[in-house]
Amino acid sequence: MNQETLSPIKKESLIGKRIPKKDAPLKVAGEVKYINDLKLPGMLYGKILRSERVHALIKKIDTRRAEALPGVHVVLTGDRTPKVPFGHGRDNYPLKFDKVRCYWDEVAAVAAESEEIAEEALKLIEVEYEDLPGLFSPQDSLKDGAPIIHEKVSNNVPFVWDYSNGDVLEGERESDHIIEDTFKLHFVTHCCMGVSGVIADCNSQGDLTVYSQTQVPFLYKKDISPVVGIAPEKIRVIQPVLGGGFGSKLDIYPFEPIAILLSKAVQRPVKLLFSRKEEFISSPTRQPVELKLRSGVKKDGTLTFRECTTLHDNGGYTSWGATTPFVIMQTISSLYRVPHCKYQTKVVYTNNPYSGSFRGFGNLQATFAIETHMDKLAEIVDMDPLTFRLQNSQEPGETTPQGMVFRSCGMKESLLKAAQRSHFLEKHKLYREGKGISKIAPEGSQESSLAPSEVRRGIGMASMVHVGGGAKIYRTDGCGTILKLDDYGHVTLLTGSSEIGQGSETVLSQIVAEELGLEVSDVTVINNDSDVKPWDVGVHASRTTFIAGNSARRAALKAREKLLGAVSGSFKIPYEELDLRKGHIVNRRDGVPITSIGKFLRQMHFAEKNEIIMTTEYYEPPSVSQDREFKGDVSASYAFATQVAEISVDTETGVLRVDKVTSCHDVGRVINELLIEGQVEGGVVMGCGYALSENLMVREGVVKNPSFRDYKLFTATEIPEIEMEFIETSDPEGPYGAKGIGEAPAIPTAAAIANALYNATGVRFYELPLTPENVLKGLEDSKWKS
Amino acid sequence: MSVLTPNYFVPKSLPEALKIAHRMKVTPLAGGTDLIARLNAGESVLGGAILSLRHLCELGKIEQREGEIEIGARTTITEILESSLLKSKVKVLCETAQCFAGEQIRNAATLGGNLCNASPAADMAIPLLLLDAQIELARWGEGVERRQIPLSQFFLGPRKVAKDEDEIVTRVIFSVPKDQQVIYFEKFGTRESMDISVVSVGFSANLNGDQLSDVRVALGAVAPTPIRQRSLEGLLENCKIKNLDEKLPFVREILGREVRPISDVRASAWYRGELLYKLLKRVFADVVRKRD
Repeated sequence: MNQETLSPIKKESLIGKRIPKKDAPLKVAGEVKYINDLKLPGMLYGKILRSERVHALIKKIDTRRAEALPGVHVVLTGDRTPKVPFGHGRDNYPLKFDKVRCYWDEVAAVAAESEEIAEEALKLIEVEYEDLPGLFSPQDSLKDGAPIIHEKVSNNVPFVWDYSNGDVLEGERESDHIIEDTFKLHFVTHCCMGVSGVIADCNSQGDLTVYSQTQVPFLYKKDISPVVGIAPEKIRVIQPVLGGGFGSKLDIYPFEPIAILLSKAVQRPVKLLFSRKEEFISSPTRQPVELKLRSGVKKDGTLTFRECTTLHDNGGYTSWGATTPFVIMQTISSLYRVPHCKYQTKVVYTNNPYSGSFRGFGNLQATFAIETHMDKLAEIVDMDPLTFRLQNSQEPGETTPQGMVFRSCGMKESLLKAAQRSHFLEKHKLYREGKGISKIAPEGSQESSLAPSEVRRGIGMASMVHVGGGAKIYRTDGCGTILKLDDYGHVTLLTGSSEIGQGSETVLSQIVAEELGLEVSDVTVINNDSDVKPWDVGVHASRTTFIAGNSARRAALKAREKLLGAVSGSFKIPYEELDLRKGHIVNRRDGVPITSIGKFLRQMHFAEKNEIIMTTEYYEPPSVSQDREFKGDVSASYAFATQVAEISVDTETGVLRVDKVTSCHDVGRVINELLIEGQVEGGVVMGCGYALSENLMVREGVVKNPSFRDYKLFTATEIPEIEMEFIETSDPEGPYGAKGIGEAPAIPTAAAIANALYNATGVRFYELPLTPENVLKGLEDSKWKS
Repeated sequence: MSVLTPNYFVPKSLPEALKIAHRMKVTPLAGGTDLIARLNAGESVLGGAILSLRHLCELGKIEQREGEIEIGARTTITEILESSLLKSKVKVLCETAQCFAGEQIRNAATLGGNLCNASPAADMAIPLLLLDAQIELARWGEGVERRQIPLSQFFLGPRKVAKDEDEIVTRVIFSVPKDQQVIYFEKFGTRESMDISVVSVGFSANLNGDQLSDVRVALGAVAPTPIRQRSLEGLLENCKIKNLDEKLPFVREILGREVRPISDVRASAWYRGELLYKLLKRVFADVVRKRD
């Protein structure tokens, strides 16, 4: 042992530190291998023939000319593949055989020597259709005598969910004021930088290795197995580095079983990669919702009831979008204290694109409506938006009527902090009185009709609640960990959870390193091979830091116990007097090193007892599934946040600029400040895009803007200043007190911006996006100046 | 890209390029920012061999010859943006280049390509229409044969230009603006940057004391091609600056009567009409301010 290690080592914690993402340097250097970069020996290229019809019977498919093209190995159609449905609603098929229900539905697929040959082959496939009348809105699909989209669902309504607590009639009687509005939310899509893609590799023994972008590798095995006719135990899922997830890879979509079926047919690897246009047209969207909301309030500002009905445009097939009512009802019932609540929803088939899961999962839609109503109600009872929200705010210890238990709750703090940091009350009053007005041209003649247009400023706030400790959607919401310590003091963390860009590798390494007295760089994370890593539900519901973090921490604590136990025996030092710091086993009291972890592990390997340290953990959060009435404490923790948006709006062109967003989050405890800031920035930008510029334009089922030229993502120029504060409520169940943050920052942004627009102009907007044209139209229609 | 990769020619001189275009059907390729995007989108845009113009250095110059400025067709938008000659003599071209797409596109896209693509929303067309620019075309006959036509006659429709198949656009030529000439380019996209025009408005006039003369108005993205709006020019010719505000109702009326934009994914016809009027109004307000 050298001199250096003999000097005492102070206890230093990694929790709360600003630690850069482990994968960032490789990504920046372009060294990371995405699915686009992967190539297996003997690999073929798959392409999908997509229908140009939105609703039509498939009469005949002739593939003979395609099959005859040199370089083509196989051509598949729905009739040549197993007819086993998949997807959340089990109503979708890899290749459609009876009819097509969406624009660009999959009707045939080719595997060929090159992408170019595969594309040529598609052109040689002839399909005869018989057009059916299309349905392009839930209202049309609900009409008597409307065409039926899925024969098994004769009313076009695959799902209906009703929730209630209390008695709305009673709530109405208690109310001094009741308001009712209809909100319409639009189609947007994830726009992952990396397009969808898969490599399927079936061998002659019936084994499948699939290089998949899935966020849920274990559920994926089970779900895809019957569709492709391969037993789950014969399926190995390898997850290449993902170019963005945001929920889009939570379900199975047709291209994956298609690639597998192609590979199975030729027993060679088949790669299938989307074009950007395919990504826009054929990957899932955020679900469009029409939301009717009635809210009541007493004179003193106490909420009395909420009644909400939603119509969900389900598109032609059912993916996760159809289940967003689960989250919508949480916001309706539990964002504020409301004694009486009723929620009814219909999910309706149309011939529009179908929706999947998307960061926030229905909560952006719900929060937009609820928080607009909160602003309106505040004004009606003559209270400011902050005080009104505080009066109805949730508090720690609350069990909501839906059964959610807020063991920790920083909602009031988030409201107060966001208001304080943004000088909300002063500005809100000033702008409302019209004192935030400036003129575009500096010195134009005020009297002339050439007078410069007004730019008005506004400020608005919105809060949110979202699951922050997983969500018990399945019978388990757990995650497994295997931890392996090696004789160089290095740790391999095999976690069930996946890295999808959110930073889980870094946070989990940090947690393990914290417990074992190591550096983050001493931990290698293996998380992308279903044959190696232990089971996990998947990456969703903002659960990874909480669930996988708790799992990793417990596995690390077991390893620590084992290691220190062995040290204690070996050095005859009481266990309690030992600690792990900076790669060393030290004396807890003075920090003087006893030996290095690596050295001791080597000794363990070669000692008489020949031991290794390897631990496992399966962490299951103490949450419960909802009962039949959708009540229950589904998450181990809940996250709260308040955002304040400050905007300028040019009242002559309708251009709305977000100047600043103040985002205050109850995160339980900050584990990695840098990453949490990244999540908030990304979420706010995504929320701004949802509010202002992003719009997947679907006309009669057809996506009209499938490119980044016409689908307007927020760019660097438009991104506002983002100020944030993290409120540490120290959740009793979270790792070190932390709760989930992944989805939260995107949720309240649109609502805060719309409330700011009202503050600026006195005009309410009930539909998104607030594009310049929609803003100007809204202002003109309301004859706002009079 | 198609399986059938077409012939690809990379001539080093204009005569060489023209001879190839004379011999066979070609699709000229300059920056490729339109052509390749359309190819990738599956459009059949290749009318024969690809003729790369990238190495024709003689088409990459920005020069002043006496009272005229010539810009080579292969000049990139970035080169226009950074040209000190243009900055001092025709700043509006630099301003237009500044709001042209994003930086990567500006580095590749060329002036000739932008004009030949003949998008109704082509940004560079607007200031050049205001400058009464001539476009020079060359073909191989008895050696290099050149002709010039006014840019306003060059645009025939979306992606249609008055250029024969064997011709290549070589230069854009216009007179150096006079000192008293003010030139405006106003582009409106739905986003602050990296955007295609929803509408664009160009305005030029000589300010002689209190009066406007030689008024020119050019509009983008409101007709099948970028256009000059002659009725507005007539309305405003010899108008006193102090009377500009009184002309506004007539401006609105002419726009409503003569300009019929379409509704598409970028904007409705209504909004385009509103923007045209309001952007023009802003230009007028600035003209008034300049006089004051």
